[in-house]
Parts: sequence; structure tokens; C-alpha cells
Amino acid sequence: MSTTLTCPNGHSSTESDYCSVCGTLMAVPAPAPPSPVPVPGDDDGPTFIPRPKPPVEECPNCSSELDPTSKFCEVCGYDPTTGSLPKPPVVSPAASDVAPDDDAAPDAPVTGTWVVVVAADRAYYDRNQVAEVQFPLGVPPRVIELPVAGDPVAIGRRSASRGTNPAIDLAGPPEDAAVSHTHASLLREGDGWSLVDHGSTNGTYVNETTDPVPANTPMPLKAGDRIYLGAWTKLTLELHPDQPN
Amino acid sequence: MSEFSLEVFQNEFLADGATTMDAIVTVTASGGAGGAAAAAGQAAEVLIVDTSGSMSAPSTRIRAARTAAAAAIDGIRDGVQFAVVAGGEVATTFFPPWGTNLAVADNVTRGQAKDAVSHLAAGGGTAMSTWLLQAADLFASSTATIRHAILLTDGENREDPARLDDAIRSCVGQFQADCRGVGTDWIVSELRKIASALMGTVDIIPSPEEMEAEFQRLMESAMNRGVAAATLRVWCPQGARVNFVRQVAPDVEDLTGRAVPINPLTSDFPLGAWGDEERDYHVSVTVPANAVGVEMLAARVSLLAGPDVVGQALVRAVWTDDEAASARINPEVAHYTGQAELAANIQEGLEALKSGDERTATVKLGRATQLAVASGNDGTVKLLRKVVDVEDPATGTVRIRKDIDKADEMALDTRSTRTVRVGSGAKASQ
Repeated sequence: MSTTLTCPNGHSSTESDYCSVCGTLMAVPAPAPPSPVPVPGDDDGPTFIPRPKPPVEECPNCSSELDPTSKFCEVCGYDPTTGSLPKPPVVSPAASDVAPDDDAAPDAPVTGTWVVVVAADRAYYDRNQVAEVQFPLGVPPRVIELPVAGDPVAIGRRSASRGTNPAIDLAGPPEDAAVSHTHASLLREGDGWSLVDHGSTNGTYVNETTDPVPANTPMPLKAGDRIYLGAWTKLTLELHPDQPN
Repeated sequence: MSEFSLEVFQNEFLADGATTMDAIVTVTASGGAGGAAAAAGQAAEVLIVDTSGSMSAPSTRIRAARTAAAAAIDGIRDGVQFAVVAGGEVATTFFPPWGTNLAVADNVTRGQAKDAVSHLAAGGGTAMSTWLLQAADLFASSTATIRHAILLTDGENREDPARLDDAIRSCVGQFQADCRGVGTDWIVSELRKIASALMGTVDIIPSPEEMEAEFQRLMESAMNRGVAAATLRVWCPQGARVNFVRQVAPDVEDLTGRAVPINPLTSDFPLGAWGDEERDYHVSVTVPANAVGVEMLAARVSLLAGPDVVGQALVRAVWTDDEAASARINPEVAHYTGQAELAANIQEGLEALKSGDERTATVKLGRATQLAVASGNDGTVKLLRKVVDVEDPATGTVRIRKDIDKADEMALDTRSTRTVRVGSGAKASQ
């Protein structure tokens, strides 16, 4: 039997309890008197009583149908009453100290030396509240030059017994013990770099995001992007243009 | 045929704006008949015995390995296809003698195999990649669907680690492997890597005399698995995301990285073969925020035996402005979050100890002691006490012992992932 059911948000659902697309409860009794009176007596039919559909409104952000009972767009999280997308990042380091925020890199061929600056970020550390790891004081940022091509650049903590010896090593001193031994890698992709988290214990965050990047999914980076990991580690990807001389 | 039942433990209430939903899903199987699978030729078993030079020093080791292998062979049920691999610099199929196929267990073949393993001799190096690949070749020659190996070693892998990694990768999904290390010259992380990828367990056999009993036990549990391939299927609604899926009992194993996408909303997590047993899973998802009063499904968790859905559990989310309801942490979720933290602290503490960072080791093992005591994980407390002197379990104040036995340290490491169920603690749920 392949009865197609429709959920309150208008998705066609293969499940009768909760919508198989958006998870909304299917068997809600209609709050308002249903205009087309459902034929009673047919108890074996789907338990869902179609809700009278108000004029369909589209989400101005992603054009999905909006559920009039919901505060937000079910698909992209857009809030029609305030006109805003889901909560802006909390992570924004009060340290807009390093953020060269112009991604307006034109189409000019990107040449230069890619480096990663390893630094201890106080604002990020304070948010994390990892009691077991102390914030390292008085540690100058380290600059690690990335190779022109070749194997992924590993980010993690070196460990003889686990056989890890990452190029970007947070085993210190000072050690950031909240970084996984095999935490993430930078992958050379075309002219630029991508970040991939290897399912690290504490996750990896890019710029002002509150959610960690999904594991095992390369995420393209651009010059100036900040990568946050562990208890206090901030990695800034920088492109130092070639000096003609 | 096994009967599966699933049960969910969660606090379904979320505060306004909250989006993370955690649940423990308990999967129980009963009525599975491993014997039927054996009789039907559905089960295959490969014993891999380290025969590198170190196994002859002390010579009790290779002798114990012969006895243990014989005990394991005795435990193989009639109809199960089996082989014995001798592992050195290269792997050789020691039994059956014709080398490329598995033998079918009966009184005659078991006798021949036991006679063969009584001649196992030690000598040469250790290249575990060849052992695994040999086992994979043997399994490939068989139509059995329940494929299990026992790997016994006493030493460190002596080859390019990349070769072992490659071999593990090509064996994933081909068979399951329980790994055992005898003595203290093997590397826990190495065997854990193999066991974890091949959905098996790892443990230390401190002295050769204990090998026989352990092999009997392993074989018995392998022979009792009647379901070849169970799978946990997790569906999340559009806009939601799986944070992690973790087995939390009987031991902690993160399954997140094993996800096989089925469609944009659904992923499968292979669980391997099942017997009559109970396992618990922690599923954590982030769902889109909803208005207070809205109820939605945060995850539909199904269990598949082969291709068939045999059980299902619903993880719900209900937004509420009743802070007392949303602030409550479900006791099962809290307990298993603690058990996972316990395992991580032990492993990190021992790692720190090895690298000479006693300060970090003290903090981590102290926290581990605190968690183990509070959750009633007595087995782990006992193991911890062999590595640290506990001054105050409530605050996790410990001192690293000066006289740590290497075997105790390794036992703590291998068993760090063992968990106990909720309510095991004397003080739990007050």
C-alpha cells in the first residue's frame, strides 16, 4: 500500500506518524474547523486530517513554502517577522583583531606563499571553558609555511604511540590538549585550500560559526579565514603575495 | 530468527531556541540461533596466530598459543567454515593444508587442525598487513555471511604503518576481528585500530596461561551470532544534522565516521554481526529551531537485519517554555555522556603519562577516577587503582603510582572503553 500522505507543511510523506521530510507531527487534529469536512467513519484511512491550507506564502530567502504556524522557514530557518537568518554567530571573536575581511580577491591569478599562523585566542578560550587546559600566556604566534603542492597538511597533536606527526602540531609546548591527535587536514585544491575535519573529538570551527564543520567534508577556505579548534587554538590562513624583486 | 526491540531514553523537551537533541537507543536481540547459521554454512572463522620470533621467547608463549588455538578449534561448531593462519613477515595458511579454501568443521577436520597447530613454530618478523589480507582472501573464497577472525599477537607491527592502514581499509566490511595481545610488548593503539575498523574488541592477555580460556570465550561469543549484518539507520528531518552516533554499551565506539549516506536525510551505520545481546547507542542531532508548542521528530532510528527493518525507535523534540521540563537531563544520556568522557580521559591520561607529562596525566586520570566511581563502573575503578593512588574519589584527587606494572597500564588502556549501564552505581538515580 502506498498511500501518499501530506504533512501540515505540504510535504508528501511516506510515514503516517511524523513527516518523512520535515519531521512535523502528522496526526495533529486540525485546530480550526476543517472546511472540506473529512468523511467520517473510515477509520482505517490515514489518521491525518488535512488542515485547511491558508494561501501559500513563500520564504523570501529560499522560496520554500512557509508554514503559517511556524515562526521560521522550516527549510532555511529564515524568520519572516524579523527578516533575519538563523542566529548570527556567537563565536565572533571579540578579536576582530586579525580578520582581513575582504574576500574581494579579484580574478587575478593568486600567487604567493600560503601560511598558517598558529595563535592562542583568549576570547575563544574563554567561551570554551575547558577547565583542564590552561590558557597559554605570552606565547608568540607561530607561522607555518604551507607547501606549494602535495599531500594534505595534517593538523593535530604528535604522538609516538599513535604514530601521528602532524605538520601543524599542537602538542606544544604549549599543548592544546583539546585538539585531537588526528584532528583535521588542509587540502590543496586548485589555487586555494580546503579544510577537512577527521571526526575530531571537539570539532573544528571556521570563522564566526557556532557549529563545527561537518566531519570528513572538505570546506573551501579563503585567505584570512580563521580556524578554531581545541581549547585555545586559532589558525589563520594567510596568503603572502610574492614580492617582485 | 532473532527478535529485535528498540527503546528510547530522552528528554524530549527543548527550551525555546534550543536545537540539540540527545537520546540513548537501546537495542536488544533475543531468540537468535547461532547454531542454525553454522549448520547452514553461513558462518566462517579464521584464527590468526602470531608466529614471529618473539613468540618463542619465552617459549611458554608459542606453547600456550598452540593450546589456545586448539581450544578455539574445539569451540568451532559443526558446519562452520574455518582456517588457521600463521602470521610472520608473511602470512601462511597453516590449516587447511591446501591453503586457499576454508575447511568445514566436523570431528575429522577439527582433529586435523588441532594436529596442525601443535606444530606451530615461531620465527621471523611481524607484518600484520599480510595476516589481515590472507584472512580476507580466505573469507573471499567462502559464501559464509557471518565472518569472524581472532587475531593473536605478542608484538609490535614491524612494517610501514601505511601498509597496515591500507590492509585494514581493504578488510573493512569483509570480516570482523577480535584482537588479543599477549604479554606487554605489543602496542594497544595498533590493535585498537584494527579491532575498531573491523568491528571487534581488543584486550590484553597478560600471561600465556590465560590464553586458552580467553580463546574459548571469544569463540563461544562468535559462534552465538545469528545475524550476519545489522545496521543502525538514522533519519533526520530536512535542515537537521547528525552530530554523532556512538555505541555506548557494552563499550564506547564512535560510529559517526562510518556513516553510509542512503539519501540526503538518511544514513546507515553498519554494526556487524549480532547474537543474543543488548547494545546501547547515543544519537545526537541538531534540528532547526521551532516555536514553543511544536512537536517534531528529531530522528527516526531503525534497526536493519540484513536488508530488513526489524525495529524502530522515535526520537522526538517538543519545544516548551517550561524551563523545569527542558532543563532536565535524561539520566541515561547523562550517564553515557559520562562514560564516553571516562574512556577519553583514560586514553588521554595514559598518553600523557607515556610522553612524560605527569601533570596532565594526573588531571585526566583523576577526572576518570571521579567519573568511574560516580557511575559505579567498578571494573574500571579497579584498573585505575593499579595506576593511580586515589586520595579522594569525589573530587578526583589522585597521584600517579610510582610502581606501575606495564600490563596493568595496558589493561586500563584496552578496557578504557568498557561501560556500565545506568543504575550500576550505588549512588545512581537518587
